[in-house]
Amino acid sequence: MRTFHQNIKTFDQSAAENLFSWATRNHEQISTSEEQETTKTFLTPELPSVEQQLWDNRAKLKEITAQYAICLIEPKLRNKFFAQIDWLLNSEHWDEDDRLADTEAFKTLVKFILNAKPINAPYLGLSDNGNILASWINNDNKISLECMPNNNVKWFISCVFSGKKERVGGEAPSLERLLAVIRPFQNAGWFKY
Amino acid sequence: MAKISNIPDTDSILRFAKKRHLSWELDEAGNPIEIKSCYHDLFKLRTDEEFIKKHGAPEKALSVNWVDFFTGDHEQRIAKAIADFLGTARTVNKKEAFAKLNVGEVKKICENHSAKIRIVHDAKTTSTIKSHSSITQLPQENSLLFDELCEIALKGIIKV
Repeated sequence: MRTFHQNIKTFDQSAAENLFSWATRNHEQISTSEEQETTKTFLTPELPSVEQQLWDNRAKLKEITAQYAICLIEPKLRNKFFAQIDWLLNSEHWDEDDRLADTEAFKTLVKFILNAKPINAPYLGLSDNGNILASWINNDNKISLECMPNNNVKWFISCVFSGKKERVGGEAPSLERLLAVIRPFQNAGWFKY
Repeated sequence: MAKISNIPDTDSILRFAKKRHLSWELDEAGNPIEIKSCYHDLFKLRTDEEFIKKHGAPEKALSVNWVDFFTGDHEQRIAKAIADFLGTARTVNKKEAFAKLNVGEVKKICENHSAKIRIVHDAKTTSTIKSHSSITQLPQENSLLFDELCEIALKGIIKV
């Protein structure tokens, strides 16, 4: 298995720049139609700033994906990943006490994806303090991550073995350690490795 | 003043689930089609900075709505409890949901993890949310417990 550092070394700058340009264009197209909808729906003066913050947050997450890994993520998976970002950070019923996605925590998730090689894009959520929640589900087998800044991850797995549910979780101080502790569950069907 | 009373084990409660606490399957156009799981944060008490700044202290109990406070058949009581929440707290769209939980089942799961919780009806007499109730003495961190609660929450999920 390639290490995280080896993957980073293979990062192709020019390809990433092209794809970053694509990600930005793609984001602008999506956001323009959303903003037209918003103009029709919301007229209160406070909401545009929330809308702008969410737009910036979505753009930043896509920029991070482009910088780190976009050329290493399959287009189908990338599109689903971006759709989850757009859906999650949408102004519809965004509470005033909700925190935006922590960009440093998001970097942890992107680096995990780069190394774990998931078969599908994760389902995304947000913790109360802005950490990124990500899950992969294959029938009764589920892995959930709470990605925090600096490659720290709280992880939780629930799997069915011989008809019985097994639950296990912990906190990994590095991605290398996380990949090692979840390795015994590699037959659960979430990742390619 | 609130008259606090224990909710019977046979009764049901609703926990409002924000979209960020749910895993949603999306279609190709990015529209939500199915809830695949709940994140543990659905049952975690809030201790984050934003919450403390707004409310002055960490969250002490988990807010829920008591379904059987209302009259009518089961479906009607659920509809009334949702309306009670919606009418006063906020509006909800199709990206959010309610988890219907049996009180006895929640207490049993918590007991299995050595957490002696109480589920009480504590709506203030002046409150407009008549069915407001609370789960008290929930542990701050217990992933195994939260995962079991998420599992029964998913079985009883109600999309609005």
